Amino acid sequence: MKRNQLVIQDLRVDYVTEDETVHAVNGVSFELAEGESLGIVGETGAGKTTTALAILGLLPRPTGRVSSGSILFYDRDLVQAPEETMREIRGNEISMIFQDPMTSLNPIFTVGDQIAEVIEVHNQVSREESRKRAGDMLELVGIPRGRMGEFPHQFSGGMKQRVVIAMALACNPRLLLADEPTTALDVTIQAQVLRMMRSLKEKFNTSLVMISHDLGVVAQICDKAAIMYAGSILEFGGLRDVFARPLHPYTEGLFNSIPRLDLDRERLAPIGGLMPDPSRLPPGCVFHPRCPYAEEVCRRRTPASTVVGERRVMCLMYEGVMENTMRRTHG
Amino acid sequence: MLSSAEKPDAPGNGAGTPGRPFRTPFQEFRRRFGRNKLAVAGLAVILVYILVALMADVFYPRDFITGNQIPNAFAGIGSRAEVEWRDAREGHLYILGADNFGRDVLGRIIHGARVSMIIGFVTVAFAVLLGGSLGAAAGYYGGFLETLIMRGADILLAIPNILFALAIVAALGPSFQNLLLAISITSIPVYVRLVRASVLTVKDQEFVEAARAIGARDFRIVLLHVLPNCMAPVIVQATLGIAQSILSATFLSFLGLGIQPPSPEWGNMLSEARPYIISAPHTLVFPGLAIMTVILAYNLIGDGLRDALDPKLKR
Repeated sequence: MKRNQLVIQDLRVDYVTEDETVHAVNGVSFELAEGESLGIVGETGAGKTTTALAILGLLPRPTGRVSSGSILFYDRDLVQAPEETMREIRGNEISMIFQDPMTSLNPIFTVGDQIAEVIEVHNQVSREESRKRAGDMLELVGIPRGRMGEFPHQFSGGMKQRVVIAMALACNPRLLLADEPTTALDVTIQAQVLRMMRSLKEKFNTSLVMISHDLGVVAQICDKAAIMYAGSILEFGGLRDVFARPLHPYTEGLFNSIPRLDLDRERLAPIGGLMPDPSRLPPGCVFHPRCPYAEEVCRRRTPASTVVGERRVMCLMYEGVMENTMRRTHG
Repeated sequence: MLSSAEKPDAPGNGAGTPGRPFRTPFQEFRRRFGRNKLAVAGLAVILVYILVALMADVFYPRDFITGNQIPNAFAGIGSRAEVEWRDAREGHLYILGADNFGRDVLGRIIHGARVSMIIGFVTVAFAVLLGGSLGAAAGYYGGFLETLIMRGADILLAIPNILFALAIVAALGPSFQNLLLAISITSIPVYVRLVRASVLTVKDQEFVEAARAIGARDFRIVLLHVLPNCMAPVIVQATLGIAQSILSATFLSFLGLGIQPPSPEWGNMLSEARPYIISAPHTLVFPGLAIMTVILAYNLIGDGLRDALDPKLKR
């Protein structure tokens, strides 16, 4: 069995302001083995990005803080780690790709210099050596070495995202956090970038946490899927299992809201309602106000994470508290 | 002809649009600054003044500082007269006439330019460096440090500039160094506020977050990623600030608190010429014109820079 690289246990992150406390992440647990890739899927505001920022220790100060739980990266707890250690880990062992390639490059430096900077920050290398390696990285992501001296605004969106990926992979990290890396790109470029990420990931045996609201993107690149909602992972398991047969009503709702070519439907079937305000989460199951299967008990009792086969689900239907009406409708 | 692989079309960001030659940011800036004819004229005027200040000893090697030529007092514009120079007498052309001590007005203006240029650059450089670092620290770290720095700046701003400079010079005694110090200190708070405001807008951009995510130290992030992106308004303000500093210096000298006569300085030239405004207007008009042209030129450059560096006015 593969060694677990990243183990997150009961992670809770709050944003504390003078007026209110926003519970952005409420008891998230997952594990990731070396070389594996996990897709975290959820709506805007579900706490996906916050989880990633917590892993890197980059929660906005002073409002954001980890209130409990642990993030073990090769058995080191990143929550407790001092800033100095985190700085060595960032970019070197864990890298992050940000959502918008348009703004995640510094407009006044050449792309070559920006890739070289990552190498210089973490390695004692000469200027020529780091520039040479920056050129290698650019070629790796399919951009000719000759364009190293150009500025970000001379690149198209897809190429910028490739530069960002080159930066993230420059120090050959063991874990890559990708925060909606393709959201700002159009569909054809999206496919290109995803293909490239997948091949690079396999080449370097890098683990990947892919954050996305797009089930299709996750399907293309991930082995595992975590469905996140209002700061909790409602369903976690192998990608094929989750996609083939959703166990949680929310997962099912997500799939129902995707337009499909093989079914003749007049309208999409979105999940009714909105995600709850994370500063005022509903009692009981966080999803119950929107859940088509919800019963009286859902309002009172908070579901625990229940193991079903190789998956974990947070729903009372699997705790024997209520009848599993979902299974019945699916036949 | 460029193939599409080499020069991709970048929709939305304006660069690399087919048919439009690509320019580096500096080339773009130069092109836009060059289109502003007044700003270019201002730049030319300043360059001439700087050249003249540098070569003051070449143009007027003689002692126009203390060399009184009483017999030639108030010599008219373009008049020829004999001057005494180290026990010898020689002919001299007073291009802009002579002042009440018979000293060459043009010579004193040229030597005075040296003082004014130095004051302009040194005080602004000092204020930008000190005010800029304080502002950057306040904007980047926030919290108590920010409160401390910003309230300090507010206090400085609450005292009228010239009054504050006056107080410093009066306390420390009139000398060139004290003049520089007084003017520098009074111009600091502007840069503190300006840099802090720019840092606040830049530090939340994603590339700063990305720099943090590659494990860069705060110092590196501020110096390499934040500050260079804040420079445009600072450059504009600094240019206008040079004009302000020169004006303050001439004013203090006029009041007798800056450069002390007989050293030539535009402010003290005005002050010395004041009683003769009717009888010998040239002793007053030309130093006044020198001040006016320099200040005007710096302001024109400042406006030109503002237009050239402002991305919103991009045409």
